[in-house]
Amino acid sequence: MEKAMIKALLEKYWQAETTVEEEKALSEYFSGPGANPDPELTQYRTIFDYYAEEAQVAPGPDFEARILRYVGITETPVRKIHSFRIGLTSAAAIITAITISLFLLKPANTPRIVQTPTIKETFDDPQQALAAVRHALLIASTHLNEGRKQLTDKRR
Amino acid sequence: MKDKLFRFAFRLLQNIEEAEDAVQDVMAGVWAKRAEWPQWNSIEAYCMTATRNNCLDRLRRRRIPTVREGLAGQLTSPEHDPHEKMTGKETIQRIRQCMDALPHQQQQVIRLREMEGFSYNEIAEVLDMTLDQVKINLFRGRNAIRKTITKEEEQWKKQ
Amino acid sequence: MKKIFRHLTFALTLLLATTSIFAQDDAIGKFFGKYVDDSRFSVVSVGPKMFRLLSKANWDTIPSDVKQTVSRLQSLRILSTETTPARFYEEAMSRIDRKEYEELITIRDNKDKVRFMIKSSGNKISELLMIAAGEDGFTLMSFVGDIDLDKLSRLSTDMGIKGMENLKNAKRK
Repeated sequence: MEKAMIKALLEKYWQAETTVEEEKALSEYFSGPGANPDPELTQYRTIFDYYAEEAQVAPGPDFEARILRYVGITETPVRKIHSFRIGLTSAAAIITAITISLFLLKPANTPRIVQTPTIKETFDDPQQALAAVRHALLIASTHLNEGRKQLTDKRR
Repeated sequence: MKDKLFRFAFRLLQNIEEAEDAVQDVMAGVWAKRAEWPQWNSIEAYCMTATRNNCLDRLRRRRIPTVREGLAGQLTSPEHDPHEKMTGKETIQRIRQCMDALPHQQQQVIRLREMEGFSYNEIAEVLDMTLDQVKINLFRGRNAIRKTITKEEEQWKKQ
Repeated sequence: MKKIFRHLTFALTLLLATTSIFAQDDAIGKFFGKYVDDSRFSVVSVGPKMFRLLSKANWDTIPSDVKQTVSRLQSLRILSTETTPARFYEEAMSRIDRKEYEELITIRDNKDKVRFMIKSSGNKISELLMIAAGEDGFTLMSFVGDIDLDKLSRLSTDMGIKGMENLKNAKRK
């Protein structure tokens, strides 16, 4: 960026008239990677260095775990989950059940073994699970209702 | 969202642990009110306000030495070897001191703008100020810091 | 012989009851499985085990028709994302077996589209699917259990339409 432009931006900056983008440009010029500000302007470099340095802050490594423990909530109503296998005993019972029934109903077919992973429970706390279920019901119910209204309006 | 709240709390409190505590408090409070969520316009806005209030309470409860308002731009440089060029680190220290001496509102506005990139509108909403107040505080803060820097240069050049 | 017969009947009942939940190789299950670990998606899964545990939650402030509806559910799965909603809508629709699921109703509102599909045998509806796409994103919701559509649609009136409207406004911000 040209020195003249930077000087102009700086003037705006001291007047608190710059936009966020313009300030980003100033920051880049003074303390971005490979920055080499003009000697006349180097005195301002530390200011932008300071802000850039201070901007890097992060919570402790167990921040999330800490909150979850304290409160038992997730940050949004929905949360990432991972798949895992059904517990062995229930899997066995289900597989046996299916195998037997299929074998008897359709002896010609090879029994299918349903051993696909289920999606893991999102919640540990029944209270949260209940909240999520009610939330979902509310959404579905409202849309259904809209639909009903549209149908009855059409009929008129 | 908790990270955004953390960063906001940190800008107000300037302490990682306290900021974490503040966010923890807020999350607990918001969860306790979950029955009201459908009535809120925005859960995030509520959380930001709650965080601000929590932080302001904490700041009040701290025993803060008298803020030397108005002196921020006039801090004199410490004695140092006139032949040695000022190190970047020293200057940063000076800027830090200047910031700490600024009135709270100016500090907060500067941090939210310079370190978090909040828009004037966002700052106004989150600190409960008018847009004009935001601009004025930013103006004053920036120029106080500028004074510190240029004063340093002048002092050094004189020696 | 009788013992075996009873055992088989039980097995069959178990099969019928659990197929739609645990047989994840049904179309919707596959769709969920495909995106469960995709970082673009948020997933919620409340399974039969948790539904049984719900009795331990606090039901104080909850109206009885909500209680009834919840008690008849076996599972809830939700998949949603803000990325390319139209594309995922099409993909979900293409994977749904029209022999198993029939369309109930499609609601259009501005640029939003919400479609409900049901799986039924006889008079009983065993699964309700909601596939929605719009400006806010894409959502797929599946309720499995003994579903009464009439009761379900009336729930929103009880829970407060105002609350829902506020929720909608919140999502648009």
